[in-house]
Amino acid sequence: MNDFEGTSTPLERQFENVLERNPQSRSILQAFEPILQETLRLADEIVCKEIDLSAIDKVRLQGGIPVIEQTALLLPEDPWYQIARAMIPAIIRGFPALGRELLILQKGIDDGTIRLADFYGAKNGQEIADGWAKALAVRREVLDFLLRTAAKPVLEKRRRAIKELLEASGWDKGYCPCCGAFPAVAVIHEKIPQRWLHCSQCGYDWRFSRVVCPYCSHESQQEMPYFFVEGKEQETAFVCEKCKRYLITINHISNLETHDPDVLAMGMTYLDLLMQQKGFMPMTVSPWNVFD
Amino acid sequence: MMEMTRRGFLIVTGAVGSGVALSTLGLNIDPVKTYAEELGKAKRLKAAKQVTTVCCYCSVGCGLICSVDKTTGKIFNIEGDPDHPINEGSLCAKGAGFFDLTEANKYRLRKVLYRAPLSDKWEEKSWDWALPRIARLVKDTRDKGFVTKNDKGEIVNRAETIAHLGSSNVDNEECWLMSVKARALGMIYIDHQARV
Repeated sequence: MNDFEGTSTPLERQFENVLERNPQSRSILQAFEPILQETLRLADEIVCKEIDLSAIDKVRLQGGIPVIEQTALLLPEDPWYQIARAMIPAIIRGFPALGRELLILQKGIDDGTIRLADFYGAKNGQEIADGWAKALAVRREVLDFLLRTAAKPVLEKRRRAIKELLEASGWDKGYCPCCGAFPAVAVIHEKIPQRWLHCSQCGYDWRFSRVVCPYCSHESQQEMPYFFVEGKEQETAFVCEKCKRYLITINHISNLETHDPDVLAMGMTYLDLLMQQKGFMPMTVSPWNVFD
Repeated sequence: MMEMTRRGFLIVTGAVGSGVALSTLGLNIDPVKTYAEELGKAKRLKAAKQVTTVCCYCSVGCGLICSVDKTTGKIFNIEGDPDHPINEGSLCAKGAGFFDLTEANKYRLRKVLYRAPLSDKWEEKSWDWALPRIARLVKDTRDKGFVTKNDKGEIVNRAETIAHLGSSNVDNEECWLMSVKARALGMIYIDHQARV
């Protein structure tokens, strides 16, 4: 199993640093590392049809209508076969317990039982996935995990393509302007302590108010509560007493080093657990914040 | 034409819905659970809150965010408010040192210290000793040199034997009070070292 020895890429160094600070998250970090690597590699390599930018109304975007509600981000003609063939081995490396079922799914993709193009973009995608899981006798959760993981390189690619449009929109909502998801994690910078929300679906980062809840927009100038761990004051969870949601937040992160918010969040799953035990719910479901 | 709605998309990507538990995916998260439990037992998980306020110093009025420990009610961090339209999170040297105004500053004086004339030592004194003495000395000095009328015979009511300097280390409201007090006593030599 990769223990990050002799690693050299910035992402691998990120994983090493987080592992050093939070060794209890070793199994989570080691599981998602190959998937994240493959996602970024595929996002660089795959060729996707460009989004029709004329379909995105800038006024509507400025008004709070995310791109996903104006044009499709996942298309049937995206290179799903290429992505699945690359991603399945990465998932197996991180989650060997899923190996048997993933190989069945791979065979189903190869022989045409599963046509991923039929799923993405379809209105009745859930019914289609139900049929596949039954036909191949694999757990629906494993199929879902594959489908969600396979979508990420495409989302990353599409988000990068419209980055300038998003940045020019002056977006001030708590949900992602690209894909509409709520943030999974936030960072507060060190020198000028701006809060930046991170979307774990498509990877977009956007600035947001320090005193407003991203989920329910409740503003609290005097009482915005959060939890921190004594001795690890950088690792915090902001909570909203109104909507009972929490947001994992890395506080006072230096601008001098690169950081991947998802990797940082993976190291802080203990905070997810503590917040959920206190009765708070995450603002969004992420692959690493769901417990039994 | 787009087939999938935003909600449908979010279901596909797993952003809504119940999600897949890590244990279902075959991961052992016992170390995470154990660590969380240990933090709970050691009471290391602390509750805090953010409170926005305005810097007490100059009239620019920069915004600040104070972090307050909910258990003790004490401020443990002060930083610029990035959402404030005036300073957008930045702070000058005085604003950045705002935290030193709180009781967390271990160098804050907690007792009256008195150095007698020609002495080289500080003596601790009580407030009951210090306040009447200050009042006596101010009154006596003021009375000795008080000018009721100037050379032209105009009423001026000036206390020319006392000067007032300070303070760059108090807030605007306290500065106003100190200034009003000084002028009420007739002082005209009033200055503030922040402008120096």
